[in-house]
Amino acid sequence: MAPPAGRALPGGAEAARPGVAVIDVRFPRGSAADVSVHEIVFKNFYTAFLSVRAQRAGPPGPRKWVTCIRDLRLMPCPHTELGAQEYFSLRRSQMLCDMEQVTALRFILRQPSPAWLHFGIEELQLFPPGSKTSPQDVPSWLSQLSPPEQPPSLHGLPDPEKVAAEVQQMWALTEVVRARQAAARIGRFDVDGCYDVNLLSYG
Amino acid sequence: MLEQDGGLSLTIARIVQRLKGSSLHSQLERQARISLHNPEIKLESLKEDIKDFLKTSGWEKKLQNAVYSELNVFPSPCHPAAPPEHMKEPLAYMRKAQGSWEKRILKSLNSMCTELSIPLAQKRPASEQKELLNKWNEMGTDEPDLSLFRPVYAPKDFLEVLMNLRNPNYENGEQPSFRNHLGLIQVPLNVKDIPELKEDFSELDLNIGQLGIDDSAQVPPEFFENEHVRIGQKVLAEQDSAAAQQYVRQGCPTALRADLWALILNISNQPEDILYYEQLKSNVIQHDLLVDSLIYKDVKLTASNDDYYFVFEDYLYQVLLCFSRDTSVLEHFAYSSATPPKSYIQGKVGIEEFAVFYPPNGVIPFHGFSMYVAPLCFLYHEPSKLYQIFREMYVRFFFRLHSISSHPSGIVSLCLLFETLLQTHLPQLFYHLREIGAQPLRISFKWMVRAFSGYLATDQLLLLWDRILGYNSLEILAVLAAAVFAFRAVNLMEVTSLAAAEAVLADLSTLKVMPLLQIFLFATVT
Repeated sequence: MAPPAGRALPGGAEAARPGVAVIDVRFPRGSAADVSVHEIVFKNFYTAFLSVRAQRAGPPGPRKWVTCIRDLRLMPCPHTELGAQEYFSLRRSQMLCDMEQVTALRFILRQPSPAWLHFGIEELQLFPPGSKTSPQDVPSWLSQLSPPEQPPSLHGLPDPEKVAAEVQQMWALTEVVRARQAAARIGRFDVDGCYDVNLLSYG
Repeated sequence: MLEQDGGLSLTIARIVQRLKGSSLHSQLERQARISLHNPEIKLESLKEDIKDFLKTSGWEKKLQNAVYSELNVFPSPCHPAAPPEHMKEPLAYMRKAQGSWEKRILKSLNSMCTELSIPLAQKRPASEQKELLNKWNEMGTDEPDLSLFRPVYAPKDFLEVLMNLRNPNYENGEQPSFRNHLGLIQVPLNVKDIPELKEDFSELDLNIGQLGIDDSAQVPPEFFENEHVRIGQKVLAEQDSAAAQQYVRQGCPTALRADLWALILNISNQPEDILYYEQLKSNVIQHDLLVDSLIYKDVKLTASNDDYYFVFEDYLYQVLLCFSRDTSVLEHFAYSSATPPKSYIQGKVGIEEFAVFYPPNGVIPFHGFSMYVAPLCFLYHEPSKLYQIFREMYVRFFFRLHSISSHPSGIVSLCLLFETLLQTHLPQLFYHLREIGAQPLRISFKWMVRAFSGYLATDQLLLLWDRILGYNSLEILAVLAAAVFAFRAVNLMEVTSLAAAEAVLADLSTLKVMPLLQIFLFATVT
């Protein structure tokens, strides 16, 4: 994977920051399995807009680039910090084209604000379909969620069936998150009745 | 960011996990079991009948309130790929700045310890324990020698740190440009402008009744006040948290305020809560902390000298000493940018089995901390309820006022919001004050850090805190600070030094908060 390359504008007097960067991801040719991309996960670093184009295996000849994500706004205001270091997921449902048999992906990053010294994306991960770890033991009450009685009005709200299906997967994720967090001692702050503390420790 | 469906599912899963094993959960189970004796509950439709029973007996409402409380307190769940520190604070340089600031505080506390040769914590001898228990209700009469203790830091030290906050990826050039802010805060956080604030605080508009304006002596109560009180009583009868939060945006009637705030914060003062408070009290008796002396000193310096709050001195000790021992406060560090200080008992440095947090609640009080509790003493007289209200207010709001984060209600955003509002709407005043070396934030910072406690008259302060609860945000503090400057703009334009500007703004006790806010947001010609 090539590092982000800035595109230089021809004939610039001073070293102007162009505000556009490109990251190319090439998949090894002739791989036995076709590469399909189902989800793209990354951490933003001050990129304002993202476009993604995909190159697919197809008939021999010059390969075309197809846009799969067009101008996704990552930072609501390019001059301020909101969204600047957030994590993002791009799902297959958001992609505009077929993502089967992909040979290369091109990430086009744009940051029109001159306020930032650098911008890019980090921790880029690509997932083929069906690669998420299967949910661990889901408690029985989750799998027996009764369908709601006539709900008053679901106008504008997500479909309850879909939400119920997602909850099972998310349950597994929260278990993972919980395992990561250090267990706080509940109630007792001393160790076996002793709380003789002399100095605080740094770091 | 999670797309809508994923975020909703994750939120549901997280709330269920948090409520599982809570006392509400066991109470619901108990109620469901007891309901089996009711003749209406039939075996064929057991599930539905129990659900109906819980609905009619008010237990479903309690569950709704608990869910609403969780939604208010915890931020929306992070992306699964995000590490835990991302939920505390998404921006790496802010996390680093908070870490350095904390290290400074630790060093200061350690050096005080070493100078005075007092341990940070030790067990109290039995005779001392008995003595303290006897005078628990009148600790204010004690006059320990606190001359050698000094507060760990004061708001102005914190302001210096915030002024030096820089994003290493931001163009902080020496040449003046649009990127350099004219105020003291130099980080480009997203803050709202007046049109956005008008939308957010739409219930404060000129054509909507407010307590603090439409209940004054000249206005007949039939116009607004009577109806508003009637609605408040109805909200309390329904015991609905969400409705209460919406209601208090127009202000709380004095008689209903204590109950409405308790409803919004989901505090019910159950027997187990009272028991928990008694447990904390026994912890105070058993162990003596250095932090106790800092609390004593703070109360003596601030609340005891205040005309409104000196009568509550004893209550303040009873709340703050227990607060320091409360390990449940540690939970808020999951969404705060701060980290609790760590230590090891018996000098066993580095051995994890002997690692403890110090103080047990992880919060080191600073100069003025007791002023967060003082106004609440007007509303609650029972120590355990007063304690729980303060603790909930702290883990929802006050912790953001003394830690470095990019949260919209964090002190850094509030400072930037204040400076931006002033610069945009009173540019002449801002420029003038800057020219004479009286940067406006130097004066308003202490108001915002204390949420105006000790600066406004108590009834006005409580009207302001009504809105903090109603909107679940501290942004109103920055708006009020700007409104105060706008109000005194004419006098401020004539001063020629920082000291003179401070003098103009020294006394806020005569100000009426709601008219100032209303005029600044809705009646200022832009």
